[in-house]
Amino acid sequence: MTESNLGKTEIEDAKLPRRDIILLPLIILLTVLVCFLATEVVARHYFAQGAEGNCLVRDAQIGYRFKSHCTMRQKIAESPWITYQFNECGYRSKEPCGPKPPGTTRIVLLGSSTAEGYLVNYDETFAVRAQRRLAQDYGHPFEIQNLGREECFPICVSKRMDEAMQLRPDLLVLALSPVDIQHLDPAEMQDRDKPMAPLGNPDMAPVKISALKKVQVFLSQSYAVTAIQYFLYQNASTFIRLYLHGGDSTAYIRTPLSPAWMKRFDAFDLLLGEMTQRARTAQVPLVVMEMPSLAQGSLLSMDKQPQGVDAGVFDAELKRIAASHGVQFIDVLDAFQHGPKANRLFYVINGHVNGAGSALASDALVEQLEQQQSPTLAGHSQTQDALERGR
Amino acid sequence: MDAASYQLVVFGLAVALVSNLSRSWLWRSIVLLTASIVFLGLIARSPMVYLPLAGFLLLGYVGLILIERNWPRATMCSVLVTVFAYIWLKKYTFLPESLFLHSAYSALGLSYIFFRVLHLLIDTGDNQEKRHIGLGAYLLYMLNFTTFISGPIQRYDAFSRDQFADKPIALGPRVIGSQLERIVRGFFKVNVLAMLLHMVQDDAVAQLSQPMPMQIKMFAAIKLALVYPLFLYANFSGYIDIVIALARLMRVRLPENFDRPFAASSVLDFWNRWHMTLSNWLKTYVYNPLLVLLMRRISSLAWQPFLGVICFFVTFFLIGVWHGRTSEFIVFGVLTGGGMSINKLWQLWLGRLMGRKGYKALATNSVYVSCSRGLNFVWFGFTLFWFWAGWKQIGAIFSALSVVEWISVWLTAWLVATLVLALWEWLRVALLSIRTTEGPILTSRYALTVYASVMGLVAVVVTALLNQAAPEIVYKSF
Repeated sequence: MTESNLGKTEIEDAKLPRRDIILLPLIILLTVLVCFLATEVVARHYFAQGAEGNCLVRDAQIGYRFKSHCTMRQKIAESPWITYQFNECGYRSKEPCGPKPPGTTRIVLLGSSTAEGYLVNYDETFAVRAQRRLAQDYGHPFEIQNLGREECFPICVSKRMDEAMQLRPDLLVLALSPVDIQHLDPAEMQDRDKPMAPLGNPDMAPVKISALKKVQVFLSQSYAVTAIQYFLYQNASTFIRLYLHGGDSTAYIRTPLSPAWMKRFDAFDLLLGEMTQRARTAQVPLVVMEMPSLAQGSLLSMDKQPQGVDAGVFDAELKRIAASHGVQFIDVLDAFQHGPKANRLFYVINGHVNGAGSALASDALVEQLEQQQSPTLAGHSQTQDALERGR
Repeated sequence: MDAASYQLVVFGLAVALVSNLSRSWLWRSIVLLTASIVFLGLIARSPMVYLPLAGFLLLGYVGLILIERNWPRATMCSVLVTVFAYIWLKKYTFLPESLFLHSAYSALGLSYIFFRVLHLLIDTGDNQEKRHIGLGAYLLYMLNFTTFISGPIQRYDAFSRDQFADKPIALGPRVIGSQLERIVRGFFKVNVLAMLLHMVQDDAVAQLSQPMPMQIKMFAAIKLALVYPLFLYANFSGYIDIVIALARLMRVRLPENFDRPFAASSVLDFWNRWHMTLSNWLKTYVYNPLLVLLMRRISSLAWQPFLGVICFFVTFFLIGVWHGRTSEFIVFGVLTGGGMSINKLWQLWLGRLMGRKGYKALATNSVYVSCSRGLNFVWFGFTLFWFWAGWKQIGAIFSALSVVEWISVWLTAWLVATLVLALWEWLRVALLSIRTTEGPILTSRYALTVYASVMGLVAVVVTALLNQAAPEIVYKSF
């Protein structure tokens, strides 16, 4: 029956046919479903994902590492295609990892995906940008051997100290983000010397998941949901509002820090102490750099931060720990505060910094290194080379 | 709450639900009055800001009582005092600044209350058979939260017929469904359509003020000429859709305020379709009495047709002036009244030139109708420059292009409006002609359910993505 065909009184008096009680809600559901599918089709075009090649190889100590002389490509929904090339040691560096060329300052970069430059093309990573600028500022070659590897959190990093030292670096930089400390499980500290599990451990029993979880997984894999998230997270306050529902994993921006986070920081304190000791023994300065998370960047983009939330609380704690070990702390957060809005500096769904964010981080790194490590960076060609020749 | 927000919709639906717990007019009135007071409380936390409004309402009620008691000249005095109080509280700029109240107060809803008070005073004074309006009924009529912010301007008789009916109007699943669909449609218009059109307008204004190539500036000017009427329609009619539907769910029928205004093929026709409750009010209380007065004074038959022209000018000049307190709105009034008068003169002239039959044939000619429709749209867009912009901005916009370029802009805008509106009307007729035995498919409740689902989904996604307060209703500030 057509509504316009009826007079007003007729509409008011007319009864709804019984079939419509089922039919109309079904039409609503069907319409929503069609809209969702249409969005899915469009989103699959605009938010395409892909991967070419696989450079991962098992490693007895740290679970897995990158193959030597390997190239792989990856694209996530919100990123362009990113090419990863690894040198003969499986580091994301174009420079060979063999003996350091004379007159070159070698920096070893440690950390997880943040250090690796995940989702950033090689020339745009903060490591390569910093390498270029340092070479320009000091007038001699610099190289950064990038040992960064996804999910190589602080315990994994501590296992790589010997590997790092074998490269005979002039400087060690440990790049950290809140995710690194979040994944630092204090319970694992006792067994930290044991080898780490490789990728896709076949011994693990298949996990049973609930129907709700299945729906969540389905939605999280949906391109339409990705598209909605992408636009939703462009707004810093929306992102923060949703992010704060993340429970303990997001509590590093809440004041005061939760006991769970304090335990993580205690564990990191212990690890940093050990790493500093080993670096000192080899007379190599160690520097800790914090790469802000999207949540911290978003908070800095907002005019007013929500109550009980502070972008700088994580930074301050890390700085305190670094200072207690006499380690320089590179404060990148300040550069993000004065930079563009967070949605320009991060992949808003994935959370990693993009090329623009890497540029800010690189500037902060170089400026602060030049302030405190200038003798190491500038004096290398005279002192270290003499030592190298002596060896 | 004073915008087409989720809060308003949820509040309105909750009130409708509680209101329908009993069919008793007393219960429904108590719920409506309580909801209206809560509504005011949610808009401004301090009750002190409503003191001037309360005084205005009291003034109106005292006037009403005096008229009911047949005090001599009570109607005229009450009307004059009400008009003065309104001008004073609205701070019209032609009054000296020192005269105004300097403490902060809310004038929200005052313009619409003003029309309702005047209507009660005049009608009560005119009525042979006196009626008594109790203070409760008076407050309920004046403060009804569905009409408080931006109308529509409902007459008391229509309000009391539904609100105080022993047997309230029916509210079956069909009505509920159609009203929910209307709420979604209104929400979509304000929060998606109007918002997008506003972005286009802002963009065009920015382009005109920047050093850009002439072609880009001309394109921006054309966008500006065409977009604002559409924005205003989506913004205002969307809000009206929501409040009419909410009131209907409370078993009160509010009058319609729009009837496809851009289908109008003349300025005269347009004002029969745009903000209908306002133009009808002014026709009843300004145009008709003025016409009668002039016809009594001027008996010459040759002048009779032109009296309507004068009355149209006065009525629609007042409509323009009502919209705002500043000199821009005087120009808006002159242009609106002038447009009406010139349209009337054009009709008279053509009628004399072509004869009644010839004019009738011309008025139904599809090319003439399409061109007239486009011209009316563009004329409305032109007058609206004095509606949304201040003198400084108007100066900046008009100085961005030369006179010749502006003429080209308006001619192009006319052409575009003519073609687009003609296409739209043709498409509408064509689509509505797709029928089953029960009527057009596209207006069936199944099709309406599909539209509402899509609009609702898009509105939810867009509002979530934007994460900002609902857009202001333009007519709220008048």
